[in-house]
Amino acid sequence: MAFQPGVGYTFTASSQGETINVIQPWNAFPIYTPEPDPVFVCAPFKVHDIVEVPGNPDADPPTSSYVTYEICPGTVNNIMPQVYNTVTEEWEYLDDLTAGYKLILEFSSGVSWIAMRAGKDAASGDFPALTPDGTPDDPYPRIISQGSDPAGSDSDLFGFVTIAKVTEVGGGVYTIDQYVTGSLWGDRLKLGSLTAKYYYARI
Amino acid sequence: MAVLIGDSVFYPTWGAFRRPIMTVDSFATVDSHNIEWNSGFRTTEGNGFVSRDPSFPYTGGPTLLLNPSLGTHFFLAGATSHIQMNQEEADELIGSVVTSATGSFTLTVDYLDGTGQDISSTTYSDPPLTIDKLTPF
Repeated sequence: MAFQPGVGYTFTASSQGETINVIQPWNAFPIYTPEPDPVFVCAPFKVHDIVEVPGNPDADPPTSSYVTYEICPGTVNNIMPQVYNTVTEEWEYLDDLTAGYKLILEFSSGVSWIAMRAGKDAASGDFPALTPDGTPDDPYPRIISQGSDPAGSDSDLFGFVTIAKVTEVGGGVYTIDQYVTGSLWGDRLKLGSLTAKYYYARI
Repeated sequence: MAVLIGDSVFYPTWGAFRRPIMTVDSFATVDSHNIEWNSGFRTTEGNGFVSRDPSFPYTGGPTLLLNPSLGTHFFLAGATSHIQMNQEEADELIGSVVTSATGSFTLTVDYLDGTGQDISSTTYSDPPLTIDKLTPF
């Protein structure tokens, strides 16, 4: 048996048998272009670069540790979602973040869920709302982080799509489970007084 | 000419393929990628929606009612002119009992023939209150 050479693994074959040594886990979509000069490749809503920032107990006031993440821009119904920049303390468009931004993950029991939340515009009925209003219940698409799985949280007000899950392994190491890897088209369908349902297709 | 699903309010994505079953009292409020029905029937099993032909950008839904031209025939409106409901699902309703405030009858295959099923011998009058295999909303 023979394997063609590639990125992330080595293969050896001898009279003693074959060995494949996976050095770098394969991914559903490429993270980096091939050698010799690998370049990070963004894909819509790809979560990457989880960084644990240590706290400083000697600071005045003392600071706690926190974990930041990056997410590549993507669209829903041709609309660019917003995400909360903790430096400016503003919701900013995913493709137009203020330099020096920090996106912070919310953890519970070592797990953080990244989701997209979107709702219908109360005035026009459009889904999702086409213009952000900046309120806590803004129906404009937002990328949020929370410590619980948003699945099952849909209401007449909001629909949620789980984008990724970040799990703390320990020692500053985190794993990413990516569930959505492309921009989305979505519809909101509501029957009478029943809770609205949200359906998405990936593009 | 091809159309791009999602290109406008009349070409939603999943909404192009799924509908509840409407009756004489039903109407839909259609906004961009958001459709709300006031009343009708959903399937008791599954996600509540029936499948429809996605090639026709009609934003209503499969409607079961007395044929307004005749008044004595109950039918799936537009069943023969364009596919409002997946044929398999439409056939699934054959044998269902339709009950109104004044009477009931059992659906036969005639409800799909364009003119509708002759129910003049019954005391049924629109709107239906219950239909087997469906749940009103």
